[in-house]
Amino acid sequence: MSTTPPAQLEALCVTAILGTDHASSGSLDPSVLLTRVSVASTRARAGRVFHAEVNGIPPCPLDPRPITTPRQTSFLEALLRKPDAEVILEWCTYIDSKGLRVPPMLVPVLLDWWSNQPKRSPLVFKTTGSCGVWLASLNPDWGKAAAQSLPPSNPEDLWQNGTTNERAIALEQIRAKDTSRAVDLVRTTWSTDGTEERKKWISILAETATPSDEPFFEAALDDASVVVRATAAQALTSLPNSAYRQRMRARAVSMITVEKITPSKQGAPAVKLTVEPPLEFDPAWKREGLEQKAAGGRGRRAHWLFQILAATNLSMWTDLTGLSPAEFLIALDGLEFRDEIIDSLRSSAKLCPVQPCVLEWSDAIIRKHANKSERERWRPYTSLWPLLPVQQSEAARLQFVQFADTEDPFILWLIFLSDPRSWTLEYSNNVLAVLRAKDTKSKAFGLGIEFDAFARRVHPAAALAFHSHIETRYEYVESGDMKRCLDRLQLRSEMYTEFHS
Amino acid sequence: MVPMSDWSIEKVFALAPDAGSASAGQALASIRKWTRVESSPRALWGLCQGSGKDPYQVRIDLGEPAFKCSCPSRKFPCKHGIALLLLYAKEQSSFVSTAEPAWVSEWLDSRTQRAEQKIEKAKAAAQTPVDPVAQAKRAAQRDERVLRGVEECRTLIEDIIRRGLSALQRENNIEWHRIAARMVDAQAPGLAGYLEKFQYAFTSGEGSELRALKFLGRLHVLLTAATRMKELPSDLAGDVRVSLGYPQSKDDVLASTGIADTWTVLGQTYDELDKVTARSTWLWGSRTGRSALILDFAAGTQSLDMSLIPGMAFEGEVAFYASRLPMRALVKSQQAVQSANQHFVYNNDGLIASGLLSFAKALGQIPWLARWPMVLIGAEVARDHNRWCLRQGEQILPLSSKFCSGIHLWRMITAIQNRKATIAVEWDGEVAFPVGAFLDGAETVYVNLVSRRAA
Repeated sequence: MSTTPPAQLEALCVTAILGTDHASSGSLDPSVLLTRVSVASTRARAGRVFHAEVNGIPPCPLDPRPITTPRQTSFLEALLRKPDAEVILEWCTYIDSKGLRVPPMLVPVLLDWWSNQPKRSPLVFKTTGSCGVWLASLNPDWGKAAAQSLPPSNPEDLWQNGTTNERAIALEQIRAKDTSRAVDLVRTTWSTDGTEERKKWISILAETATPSDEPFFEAALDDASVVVRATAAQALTSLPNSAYRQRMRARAVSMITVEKITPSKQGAPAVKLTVEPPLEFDPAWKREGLEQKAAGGRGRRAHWLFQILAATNLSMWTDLTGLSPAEFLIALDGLEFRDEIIDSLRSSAKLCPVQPCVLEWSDAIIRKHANKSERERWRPYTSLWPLLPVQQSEAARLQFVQFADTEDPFILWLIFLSDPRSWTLEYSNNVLAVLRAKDTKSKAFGLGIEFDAFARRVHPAAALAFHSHIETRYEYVESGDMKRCLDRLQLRSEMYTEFHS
Repeated sequence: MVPMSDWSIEKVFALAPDAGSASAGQALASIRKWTRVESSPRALWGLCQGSGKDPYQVRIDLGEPAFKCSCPSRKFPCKHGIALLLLYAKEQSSFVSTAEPAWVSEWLDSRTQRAEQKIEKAKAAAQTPVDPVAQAKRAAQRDERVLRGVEECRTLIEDIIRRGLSALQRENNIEWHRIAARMVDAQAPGLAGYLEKFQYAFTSGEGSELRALKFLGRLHVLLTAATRMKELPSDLAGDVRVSLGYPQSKDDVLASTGIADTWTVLGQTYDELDKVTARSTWLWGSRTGRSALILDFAAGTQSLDMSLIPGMAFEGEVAFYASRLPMRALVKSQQAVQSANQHFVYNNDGLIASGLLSFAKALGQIPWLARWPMVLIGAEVARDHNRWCLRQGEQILPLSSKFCSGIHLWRMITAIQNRKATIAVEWDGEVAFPVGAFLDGAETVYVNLVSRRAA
């Protein structure tokens, strides 16, 4: 036969795909075809010699940082076997602060895990050192992941030439270094950027808004797009002394009447409150980003009221009524629009957490609803805690537990965990003290998700003490969720000891 | 027996039957969890407090290694065994070297005794007279059944070719499971395995038709040989029987004379078919220059035999199954286990060309041969755009896409970088699957390139 075995095989394969019954070249017995295939493929397998122009790979650049010790490395090995993103990040933070890097043979597994994460921490990539950079240059998937997660080297250039997402990353980076430069750059492309882009730039700037951004946001209220206007309004709402908030306050004041009265009985409020939203939507409100249509399960007028109050300082109520937050909440009872006003208090605190007296107000709101039967009513208000600085939030939660006077472990854990930030050591110890005093032998049923969150957030130096508390005081600790929680506590504690000894 | 001194954490985890046991073992691998950890030259033992009243007694025979624990776990080895060995890998200094207590030495002695009894039994069984008439009758019945299976299989694949692979793809009307079951009933389970691999090749994406067709070609040779068994030389007929799935007695193999050598475990590959993991361990004997293949199987999450760990070398006898080209073998005895790092000697030229030539010769002996070990000296990793290969001078070997699609390739690249290394591969006639590498430096270091978990 003159053709090469691979060429013969290709031809035989065409016949086999069609079927020997259907082949145009006349019928062929299937066993003859199979014999030919076997002869040709055996010849091909036996006679195969490969020559090709191929390229070697560049060497991995040296990395002066020492690698982790075998014991330190064993933590990462365990973590990668059953990946636990937050604890992996914790491990990377430890080794980075010690100037160490991941041993090269673990870098591929770590990068493989990292590149498939929805949120990729640049720190993890940093700990892989020059080996990680080198592998990312060889593996397109990792290279892409690294390029997307690492800060761009020339953000101004990326801002001018990148895709929308890349420009957003560039803007964040520029903003972090030079706040006014970021605003200037947004202005240069404002007239040509689309609605979605304009909205995105405002959102990015709003995350770190300062009074000097106010003129820019205020100008954006004249934007043609309603979404852009609404985003700009939200940005202005977050600035406690903005002209926007003052306009809102004036509107709010015009709807409220306060009448001094003699209280009907001891402890009853000394004011009578009336709230009367206008009957018509003021055309000027449109520019301010207010929604005209009813929304949020509220009627039209109630919704206008809610939006205006949510953009007003809580202290307005004290100024108008002379009541403390707690007294004011009592005065609301029985009032028309009571629910809208309470919702607006929460929204106001959330939209502008830096306004004065926010802590007193959030405390009063949560306390007002702090009893067991109303758990579903107070739970939404615990979302105010994450707005406070960590220490204040921790103090507020501890205080709240004292006030709520509950021994139900489920409620205690919910309260302690209603802020997603990591716990300080002091808070961890205080929580443990409360639990030791209140938490009698309980079942761990239904607490799986809470324990999962807890095991991530507790301070690692307190993790072991919690470990033994949970192990001795809770039943069913052998269940999967509990076991994972206890394992994580132990691992974090051992890591902490290892890196702080 | 000399204990392996270089237990790495990775090696220990390779012994875990599943991820759960590995992580549970890791959690227990802390000296605080143990009331006692001690060692002798051949063993480790310790007491670990569990949920019961008495602490669990955990024992490890370092020779194989083998595990025993008094806990009720059905996992093998259990988390306590993994933990103790991990602790040993991490902090060997925590182990007090002392005399074995009775609960340890008795177990070790009974193990030695059992191993001896097994060999005795194998020898005795080989000498027991059997009824030759009854045996011949049983054999004839089996041959007949197998031949019917062979014919059915042949009809099936010829029918596939007659109607066309495209029709098969379109209609997908073959009940593979039922056919595989009939092959097993016909006492030709080897054919069931072939058909399963054909299906796999047929659904393997781009170029699958050609891959599947080549596979049918190989099967066709086997089926033709099976129908002409009487005309074949007896050793080749034996190989045909093995491929069809005739059982081979381990005892017969163990009773045969083994080959004594310093055997190096070059590496392992894993093949998952129908929930069964088949592990191939490639051995190289440095004095005789022979290769050997040890097969182990595990169903589900069952753990595999742990006495052969990539990168170790041992003195011992390996006994081969009868074949025209003896390759599959069993380890008959194993002493002086040590790390292969300082002891690996490869006395062939280690060229790609020589490896390909020896494979070609092997195909001449058994044309349906599936794979072949090669050791390449001075090989490096290279690529042609995004196709990866091994290069040695001007010759290359393309790498298996299965190897390149996962983490294996990247572990190999990280280990070898742009250097030259001695790389052991499994060759299937088209692509290479690297299993282990020896890196030269101040001292030779072995790197295992494949793990069951990553596979």
